[in-house]
Amino acid sequence: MAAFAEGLGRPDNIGITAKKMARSYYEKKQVLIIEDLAEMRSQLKSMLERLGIRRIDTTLNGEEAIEALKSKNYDIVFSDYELGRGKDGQQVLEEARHAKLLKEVSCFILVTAAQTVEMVMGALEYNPDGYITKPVTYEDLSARVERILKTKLIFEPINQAIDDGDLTEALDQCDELIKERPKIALPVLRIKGRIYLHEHNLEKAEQTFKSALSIREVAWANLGIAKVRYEQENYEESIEILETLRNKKEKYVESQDWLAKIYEAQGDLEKAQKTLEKAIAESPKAILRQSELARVARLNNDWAVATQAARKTVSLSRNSCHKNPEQYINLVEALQTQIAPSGLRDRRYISTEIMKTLNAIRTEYPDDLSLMVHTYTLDSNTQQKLGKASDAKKLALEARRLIQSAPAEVAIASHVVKSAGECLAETCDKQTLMDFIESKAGQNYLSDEGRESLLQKARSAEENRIQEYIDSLNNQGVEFFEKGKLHNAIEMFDQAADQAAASFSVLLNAVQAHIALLQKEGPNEHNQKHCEAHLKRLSNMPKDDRRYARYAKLSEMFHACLSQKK
Amino acid sequence: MRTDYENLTLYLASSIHEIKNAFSRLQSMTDSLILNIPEEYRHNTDYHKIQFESQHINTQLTQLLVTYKNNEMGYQAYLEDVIMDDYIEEILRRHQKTLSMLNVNIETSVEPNLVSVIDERLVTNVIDTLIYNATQAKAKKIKLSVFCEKQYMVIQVEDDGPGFTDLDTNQADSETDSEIEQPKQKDLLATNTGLGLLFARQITEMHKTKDLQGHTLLGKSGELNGAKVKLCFPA
Repeated sequence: MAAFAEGLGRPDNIGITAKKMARSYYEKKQVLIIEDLAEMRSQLKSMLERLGIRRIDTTLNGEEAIEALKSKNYDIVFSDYELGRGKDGQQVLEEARHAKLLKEVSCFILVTAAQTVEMVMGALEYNPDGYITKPVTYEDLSARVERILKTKLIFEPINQAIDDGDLTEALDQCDELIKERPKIALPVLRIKGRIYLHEHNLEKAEQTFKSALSIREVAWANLGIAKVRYEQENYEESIEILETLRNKKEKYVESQDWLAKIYEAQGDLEKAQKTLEKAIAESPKAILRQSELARVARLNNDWAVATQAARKTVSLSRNSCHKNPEQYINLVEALQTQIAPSGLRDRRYISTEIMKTLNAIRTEYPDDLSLMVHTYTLDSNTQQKLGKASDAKKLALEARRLIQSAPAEVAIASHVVKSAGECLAETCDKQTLMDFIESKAGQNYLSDEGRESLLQKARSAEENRIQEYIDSLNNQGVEFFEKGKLHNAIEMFDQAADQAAASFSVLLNAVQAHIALLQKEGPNEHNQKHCEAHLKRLSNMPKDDRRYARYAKLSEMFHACLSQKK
Repeated sequence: MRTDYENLTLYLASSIHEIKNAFSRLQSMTDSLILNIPEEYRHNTDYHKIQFESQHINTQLTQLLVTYKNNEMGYQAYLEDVIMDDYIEEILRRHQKTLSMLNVNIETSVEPNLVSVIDERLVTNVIDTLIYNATQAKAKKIKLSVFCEKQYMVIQVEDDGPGFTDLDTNQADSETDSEIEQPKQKDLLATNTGLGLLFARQITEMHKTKDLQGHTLLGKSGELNGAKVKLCFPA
């Protein structure tokens, strides 16, 4: 039995020795505080200063914190869990560890209100090194911090090796520690399992997680086995483990991410999407989960969900290291599908959001020429969808200009060149596209297949354009005809009928107008010739065509006109 | 539809939540107020008493909320591996100054290299309450021990106070030195100390394995002659 420790009469003894040890240790530490409330921030800072910490930076939110972490190596980070509207402390941790902004040897401590502790504890992949519950008094803080750092020190050789990128050494250190302190094997096995998974050593990973489970039923080890099974494509078993985890009271929302992955691998995209939607309902702020949902919903052609998720992804990843231009582009592409043919207000809303998103790309990535070109092609597509053909054409030509004036040393992504080509095919004449394909950029970036598909596209775009031209002439003709302006009507119908692609209906309209004029004004050689030419083409009409009766009738009428003339 | 009773309990729980939040803010403010006083003036017992009492209020409020949750949906214990000697040292450090100001001597004895699986936050809450109760019972010595007994990891809190005089020692477990299972809820609710013990039982019972059930034992301390509470967790 130990003797009575520093107690009555000499209250400061243990305090002094502990403080002395700690002071020199703390003095060298670089600390970051993330706390949105000014009072708490300064309070925490003064407590840490009292502990002997000299170098303390403070930030107000997760976004600033990520920037701070990018610029400096911190030994200890104290983050409040609730950080206002932006990301929460757990997300800062996940992002920092994910992007390796925080060394493994560094310590991340979450400060939480008692009621949010459970949220912190539910994390399976990224855990804080410790947490402190509010209200934080100096006594609580100093005692807790010291213990957290002490524990962290036990793992330092392992973490150091991981930071150095020497995973073999890290594994050796793990074994060493387990031998030395067999009772803390569990957290060591957790690190080992993570390393083996990272190295794709599935056999060892499984072995490690299983030995953890033989000590105790821990959720992370079950998740580990599920990951191993996933990698082995043993989906059924993986699903079984993950579903058990999901149904636990802690919910372990990460298990849903893996379930979604498996459902996708099994080809059940709908189930994958549902699973992600459920996970997001539980933790709507997770960026990677939102972007997964956007991706999967897109594969599912569920554009409403894809748009919503893409929108969330973009807004969540602002100032995050998960931010990438792809997310913006995904959003624009999703939004484009939401341009409904009707609903003027919605169209305006969506087109404004698209423009805003495109402008965001242009301002945030001004030096990325490929991206810049891509914004113009996306813009052109959007205008095309909005029915603004001339704007679409201008933007397509601007994309072309950017590509062609690019400095030789700047490479432009070939998919961007291709999409610029597609815009030209949609909006310009075939020759413009041909010139583009033959140009240096076209030669450099387009494959034979790409070129062929562009030409195909140009052909069908041209056909569409001709069809539209014919339709509009025909419509005008009909209008004139109805008003009795037969000369104008004939002019329109003949122009339409002159196109090789003119349909039987157009030809019939032309014939009908000619006959009407013949009947009204008597024979006219010019009219008669045109009419005969149209009828000749109409003679190819199969007899079962629904318009055949009309043709037969008009043909009869025309011949009646001719015999009258005679 | 919720019944009136359910509405009432929900209302109580929400109120406690509110009180706890407000109290946390108040506690932070007093703490920083005190920290702003120069050290030479700060060195008086009242400061520690304020901290000690407010910590106790906070502990009690947490207990109420956990109890409510446990009743409503079954509170989930968050089990972690805890290195016991470091853990107990943290508790000691937190209380040491205050206790020495109150002239209470606290001793610890922890079996070395022990790692246990407990919901640290809740167990800390129980230990804090037991220490507080001991000081309220005018104890001058408290002993905090951690050891293994049979298949359990035991955290034992003893003091030299009057002990559980109101307990019917006839219920004592025959083989141990006057240890008994806790009396039933209604008996415990009668006393202030009882509330803490009720919570202790609740928390230890949340710790269970396939074969073992956590539990709380009360008794008389052989060494200090006062109360003895054994928190037993499946090892």
